[in-house]
Amino acid sequence: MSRGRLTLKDITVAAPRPLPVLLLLDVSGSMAEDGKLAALNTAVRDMLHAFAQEQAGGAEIHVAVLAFSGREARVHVPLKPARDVRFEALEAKGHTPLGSALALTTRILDNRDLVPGRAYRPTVVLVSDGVPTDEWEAPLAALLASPRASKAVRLALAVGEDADLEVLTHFAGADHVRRAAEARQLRRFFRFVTMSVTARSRSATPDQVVTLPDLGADDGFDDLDL
Amino acid sequence: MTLTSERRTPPAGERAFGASVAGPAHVAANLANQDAWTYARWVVGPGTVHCAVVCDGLGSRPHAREGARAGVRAAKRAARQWSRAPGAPVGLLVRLLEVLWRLEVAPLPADDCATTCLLALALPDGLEWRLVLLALGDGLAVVDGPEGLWTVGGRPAEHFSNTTVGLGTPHHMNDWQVQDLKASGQVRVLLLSDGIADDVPEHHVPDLLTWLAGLEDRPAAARGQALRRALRQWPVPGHSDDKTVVYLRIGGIEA
Repeated sequence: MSRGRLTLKDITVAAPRPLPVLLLLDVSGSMAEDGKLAALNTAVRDMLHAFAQEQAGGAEIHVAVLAFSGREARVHVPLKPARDVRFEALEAKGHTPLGSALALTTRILDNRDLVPGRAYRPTVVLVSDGVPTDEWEAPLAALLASPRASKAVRLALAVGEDADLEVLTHFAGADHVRRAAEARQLRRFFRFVTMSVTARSRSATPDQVVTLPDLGADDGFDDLDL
Repeated sequence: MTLTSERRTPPAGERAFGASVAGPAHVAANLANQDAWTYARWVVGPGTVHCAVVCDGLGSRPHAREGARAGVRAAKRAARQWSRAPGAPVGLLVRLLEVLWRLEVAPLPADDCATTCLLALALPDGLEWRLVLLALGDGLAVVDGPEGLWTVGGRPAEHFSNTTVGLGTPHHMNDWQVQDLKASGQVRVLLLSDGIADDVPEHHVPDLLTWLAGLEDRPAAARGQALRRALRQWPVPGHSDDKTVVYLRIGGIEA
């Protein structure tokens, strides 16, 4: 509180409204094959870089990276402003504990200290290349039943031919799931999510639900900065 | 709704003023302010009833502005009618408001006009004020009186910013938050749309009342100008939302 006459700056919050983005990333052993993990690490790094550069908008983009492999999910990057994130490349090994990742997601979204009420609607992006190896139905039902966590925008990307599209569709709905058969499509998906989140952070209506594009086949133009 | 800082001049010892400005995001998108407010007073029997309303149209709806403006009209009409029926339950006021709002927005679809609604009503009741606060959706209504400080509204635990209920969205009667209380002396009432309420921590609400009280003695035109300027220069980084505040101070009732 400043001395003398009270000002509005003395009695208002000092931080912009957060726009949280949670990345749920499958880093099971199979992600190490066919260059999938390298493409994922590059796409996440590019996304974080773009978010960190984003200063034009009203909202402040916050990011958490949750990695799931082995027996359970873990917080690889805790939820924080994108500009403060120092991303270390993910490594792939072990199983696909999707249920654990979903339970962790619900705990984070339901925590008003981590995601305050003044935050804009969070976005949860699930990327997986396989079949869950733990009990996932109950954690997903809990997420969808949570009055708070269920309000998040949910997007999913099935990487490769072995990904369980049915599970991802349960998570995000058919309109919000895409399949990437190659690294370019994975990068294109992440670029789209990046663009839609940054657009929301500048928008007069930041909670408009995004429409995923068709990732399409390689058209040769992905690497051009048009 | 947004260009006057005072609807009517209350008698000495009373103050009622407010302001509403479009948020930077709406200004940048060349969109009009989707908040609306009003203050009115009328005589019922031996005393004067004070009524303040703030509505915040849901930004995702094509006719949010019309919905908010209809909301303040409907709330005022409902309050005026309801105040003439001594002892009528608050539930009837809510039902009347809901019906009148739908008539106000017709023939537009109600869902296209969805809006939050905050209503504060002060009715003389013997030597006390009967204070009725209603809130549907986000935003905050505050009463500060001799008996303490009460708030109604605020964001429910399950909501994020801009994920609110309102008139025109599916909701139940129990989504309306209600306070019906008595105050024996001077009372201050504050209504805030979420563009302000979300940025003022609860423990600073008394400080906001103090800040507004500091504007009381300015001439109405200068006060409105100062208030609108303060809202446009809102100190929170990246603020984008429309902002509306209504402040009311009424004295104790004399025998």
